[in-house]
Amino acid sequence: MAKARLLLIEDDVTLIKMYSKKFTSDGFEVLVAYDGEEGLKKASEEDPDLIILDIMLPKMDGITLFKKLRSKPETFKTPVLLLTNFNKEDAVFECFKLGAVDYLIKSDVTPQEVVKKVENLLVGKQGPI
Amino acid sequence: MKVDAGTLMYLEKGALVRKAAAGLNPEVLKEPPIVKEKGGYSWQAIETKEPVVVLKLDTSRIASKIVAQENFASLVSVPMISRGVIIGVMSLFTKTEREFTQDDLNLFATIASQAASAVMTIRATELLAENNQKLKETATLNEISQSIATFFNFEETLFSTLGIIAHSFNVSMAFLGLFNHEDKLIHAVKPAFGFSDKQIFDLRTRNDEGVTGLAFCKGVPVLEDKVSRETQEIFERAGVKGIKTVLAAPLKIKSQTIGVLHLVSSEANVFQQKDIPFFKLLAAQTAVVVNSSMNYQAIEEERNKDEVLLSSIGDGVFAIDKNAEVIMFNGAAEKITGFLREEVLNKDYQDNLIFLDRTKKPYCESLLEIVKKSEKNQTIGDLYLKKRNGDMFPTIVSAAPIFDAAKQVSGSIIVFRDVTKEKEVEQLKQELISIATHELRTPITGMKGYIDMILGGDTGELNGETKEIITEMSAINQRLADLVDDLLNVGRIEQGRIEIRPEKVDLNEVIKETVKELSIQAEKKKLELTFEEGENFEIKTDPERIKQVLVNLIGNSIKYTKQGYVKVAVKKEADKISVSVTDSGIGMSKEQMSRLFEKFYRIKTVETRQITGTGLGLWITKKIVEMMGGEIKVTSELGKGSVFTFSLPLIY
Repeated sequence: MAKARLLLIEDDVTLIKMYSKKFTSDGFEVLVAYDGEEGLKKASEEDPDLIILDIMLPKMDGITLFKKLRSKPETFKTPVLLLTNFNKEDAVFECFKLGAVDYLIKSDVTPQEVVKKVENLLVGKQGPI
Repeated sequence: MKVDAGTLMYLEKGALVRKAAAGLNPEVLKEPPIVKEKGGYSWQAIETKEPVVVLKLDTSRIASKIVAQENFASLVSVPMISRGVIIGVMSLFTKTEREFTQDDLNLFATIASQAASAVMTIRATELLAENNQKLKETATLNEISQSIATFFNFEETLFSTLGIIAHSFNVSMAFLGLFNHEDKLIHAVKPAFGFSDKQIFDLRTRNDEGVTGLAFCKGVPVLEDKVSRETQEIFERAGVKGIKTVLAAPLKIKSQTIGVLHLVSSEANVFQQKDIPFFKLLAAQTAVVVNSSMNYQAIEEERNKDEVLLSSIGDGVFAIDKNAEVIMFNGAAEKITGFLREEVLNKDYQDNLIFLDRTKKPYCESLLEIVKKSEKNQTIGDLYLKKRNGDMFPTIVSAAPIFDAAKQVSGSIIVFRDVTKEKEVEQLKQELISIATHELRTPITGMKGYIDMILGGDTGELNGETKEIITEMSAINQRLADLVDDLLNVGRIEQGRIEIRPEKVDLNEVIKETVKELSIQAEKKKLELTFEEGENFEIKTDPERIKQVLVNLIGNSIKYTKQGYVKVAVKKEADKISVSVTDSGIGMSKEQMSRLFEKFYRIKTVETRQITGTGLGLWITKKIVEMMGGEIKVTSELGKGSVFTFSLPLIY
């Protein structure tokens, strides 16, 4: 049985493939959305255990999407982990204000570290990456 | 053209002295000089520098009593001007009312200028005739000097000079021969006194021939009372016959002889030995005339060249004097700014030309003060200039000092360029780099992810060699990632997109944290990485940027140190705080140190061959430190190690 269902919202196919492969091989079920609108739809319909969200996305940017998730009862409590290369303090601050569980910079973390982070989050203990 | 009377007045010591009169009571010449306060038509012509034409005369405006009594109907007064200097005024009168056409006026103006030179000749000759004492000889010399100052025109000056000399020696022929450096011959030059144009053209001699050659080579005056055969030949070649006497004197400028002055006569025994010293003096004076004229002509030519140059360059150029008033404004400046020369000339340049800083607030510093302070050419970028219509354009200004004879800054030449196009291109370039590097980042991240998965054993156990190769791939990929990061940072800095967000920071804490993170790298190389904690305090600065600077400096020290230590220390001073990173690394030479903070500079030696990098880290570091109001310095000794120290202003 899969460990958990993750929704990866990311527009770059290379990275989707890479993270999907890593999470799948580590026993997660991975759902994928390629843009902001699709991400919002899947988040509502599929009720994932955790959302991994990028910021620079087509159709709807990650922060707008995050705000919408927080305003809907069915996604209100879904944990959101930011995984992006968009490194601006305003954005980081905004995301933590919205209740992000963490904000990771893609180029600074290995897939293994992302998996560790997610595993720790889902068992309820937040450890260092 | 008929006129009934004419008179000529010469400006002497601020008053008009009548020098000649025709058709008038001769008593008029005995009237006292007319001072400016008396006014009148003549003074009007002098003050306006324009001809005064009066159809119906108002006798109350005629300064001379005698002229006023004549009941003239019309008058023309023409100022006698030579090269912008007023010599005097010539007036013509008619008994009946008559109109003067433009052609008449042109003719008068020509006559007036010729009269000007004639007056000078007459005056000098008169003086000489009246006084033949030694003392008065000086007066003649002074006359010639004055004529130099008044007429900077070679032909006019020379003609009157030769005229004065010929008259004073009572001969009918005089000419100058100038040495020509190209054909090494001495050529007679125009104007000459008593020779035809063709004769002058043909009159030339070797510099060792006849009386001319003798005067030229020996450098002393030579009198041939009875001309030699050789001298005669010189003249006969030019078709001048019957020459009996020649007095020749060298024209000397400093110690160089530039030619020979000749007085020529077809009679014998016109000169006496005692004339020679005076003639020598006159020759010396003539040499000054010739030299000044030549210099003046050279300056004129230069100035014409400068004018052509200034009007043809595409950059705006203007010059200001010691009062910051505009004294020159070229065509491109007119075109770029929309201001006309007439609008800006003789006014403080800041009255019209408003420079703004990069935030478009008025740039108040005076360019004149800037060059006065530095006494060097200064370039000021990132400015805007307001056009006449209020539009602004980005510009780069270069201000150079003008020095006076005492080597004091007496003004400035300012060159400015409209850099709108350059700015656009620069912007495009930056955007291109930014997009390219952003696009590179994702694939690099992807690659890094896969490599980490393989190395993490996700795809199964790796054999030794595969692991080695994949590790190498990982390092290469990391290099690419670092390069992209550095390029992104350069782009951000150059576009001013890096923000400094100051907050209260415990500097010791930030350093401790950074040292801890980098200790893994140091351990790998078995280096001792230590931090000597300073006293506890908080400063206001951007912790992220401080960390970036520290990572760069400590990271570099680790990279360039094979064995030994890397020490970080912090020191609080009166108004600043400095952080030093000391290592026992390879060190560097003075030359290398001087270029260390240049973009893309890397030290290339056998020892650094194995060390990878972009050559951007220290440039970025320096820029960030400067953005925080600090500075960075380096001291180093080849083979011993280096010390990098950056300081920040102490703000709480």
